[in-house]
Amino acid sequence: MTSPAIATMDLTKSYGPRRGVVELNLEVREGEVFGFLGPNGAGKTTTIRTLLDLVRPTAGRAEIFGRDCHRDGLAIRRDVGYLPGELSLYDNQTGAHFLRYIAGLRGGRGMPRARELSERLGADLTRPVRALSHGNRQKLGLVQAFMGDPRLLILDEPSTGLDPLMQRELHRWIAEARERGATVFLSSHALAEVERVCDRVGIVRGGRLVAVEAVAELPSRSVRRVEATFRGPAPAEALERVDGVSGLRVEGDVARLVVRGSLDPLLKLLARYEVVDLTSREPGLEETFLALYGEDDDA
Amino acid sequence: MPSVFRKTLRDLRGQVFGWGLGLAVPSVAMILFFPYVRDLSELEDLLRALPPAIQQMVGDPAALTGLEGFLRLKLYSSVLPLFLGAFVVMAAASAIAGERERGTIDLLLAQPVRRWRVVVEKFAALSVAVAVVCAFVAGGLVVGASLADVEADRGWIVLATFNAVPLGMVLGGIAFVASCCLSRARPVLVIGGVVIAWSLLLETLVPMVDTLRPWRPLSPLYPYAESLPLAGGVQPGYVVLQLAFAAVLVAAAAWIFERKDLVS
Repeated sequence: MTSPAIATMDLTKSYGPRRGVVELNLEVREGEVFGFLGPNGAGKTTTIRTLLDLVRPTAGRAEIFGRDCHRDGLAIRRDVGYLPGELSLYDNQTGAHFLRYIAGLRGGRGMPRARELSERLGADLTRPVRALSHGNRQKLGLVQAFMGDPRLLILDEPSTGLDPLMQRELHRWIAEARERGATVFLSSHALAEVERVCDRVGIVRGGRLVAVEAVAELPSRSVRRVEATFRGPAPAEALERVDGVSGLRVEGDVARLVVRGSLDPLLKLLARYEVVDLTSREPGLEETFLALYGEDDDA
Repeated sequence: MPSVFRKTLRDLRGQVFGWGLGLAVPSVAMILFFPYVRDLSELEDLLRALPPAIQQMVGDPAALTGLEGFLRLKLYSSVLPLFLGAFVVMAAASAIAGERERGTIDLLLAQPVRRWRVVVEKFAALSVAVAVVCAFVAGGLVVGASLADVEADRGWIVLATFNAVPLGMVLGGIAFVASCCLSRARPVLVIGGVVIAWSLLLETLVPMVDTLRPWRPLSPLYPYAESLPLAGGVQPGYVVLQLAFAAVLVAAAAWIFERKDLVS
């Protein structure tokens, strides 16, 4: 049996009294694209920094391909391409110098691939980094992460600053990486992106992993936003008592609400009234995420 | 050539050129000025008339009328350690703490490179940069001696100037330890500045204040001053002592950095 690409066992990281992650047990299978979601300060970056051995666990362990992230950090980093969430490059280098530097650190390989990827993204390699826009810096960050065709890609907010065309290109790169058997661990706020490219998502909140779900299964467990227009005042009290209904807002003859689970109890109630209009929207991953795990930022 | 070493050296090019030229030009001026000092017959008498404490601070009046003594007093005892120290402290502060502050260390350490190796390669590059700055100074002095038509032992000048390289490495080592401990460059600059100021002050006051004498071995300038050749060449024991101290410091810096949590 092969080791998972990423595994954390009761991983805890505290910064003094503040807790980064708490007893995090996460498993990312080799070859999958895994989305790591959560509000700011939920522990996403701490997890990623622990995987890269930039910070050390207070308790528990983290492994990549079955190897300890601290003890075997050097060997692990040969297999990992990383894009930081807050990308900082060397201002005085041109894009070409920067990529050559990274290639040098990775044993001198990867420059032909870096040139190919740069062309696909239209990255400017001739100007100093300080003269580049945020989007163009992000392109360099992506190229350096992908240029070694690593077994594992850790991408923290990869589409930040990219225009829609470039985002599509990035999604193609992720798909290509998956096709060649690589694992992608993607932290993102762009939930539509996660929905589009990920196989599974892990949701972290307050430093704890609250759920791991297959993206395809999420909507079935999820919520619907319903808007009903009545002939006459909307029956607020009756609606509130229906199983699975929450977030009820009534404005005159219009009721807006969220239904978790089956719609049947709601429909049975509505049948007793004269309803002139009814809409029910398929929830996006963002709505699902917020409905299931709340939207408070408790960073 | 290792990547981090090469990049660090490349990044230091402008500073090396600036500091090298900035020290070489006054060195030329100093040599051009020397004949006036030498030919000032009353100078020795004037210096001998000073109170003994001030005389001790100024040094042997007779030595001042020789080029070696003049350079030792005017360049090697204060100007060169001060400016070379400022250069290495700034470079060391930027090397690790500066990279943390700018956020570039994350991407660097996410590559397959050991942290201790990053520290050692950056320190090695800084040591080479210090040697190049000293080469600028030595070159300026040799050129100045030719322009001023001063009889000078060029070998001694080169040796005396390169004698500052181990000092630069020691000061760099101290600043590297601070740079590996801290996440901001500014406190490293303050620590380095305090060390240099304390050392210069101690070296200046020790000849006059006996109670400060026991503290002198704590100054990085002490072995440097003792290794400075005036006659009879370099004192290799002090040079080795400084190099060993620098090696211990950079090892300590690497050890600290290996264990450091790099919180974003």
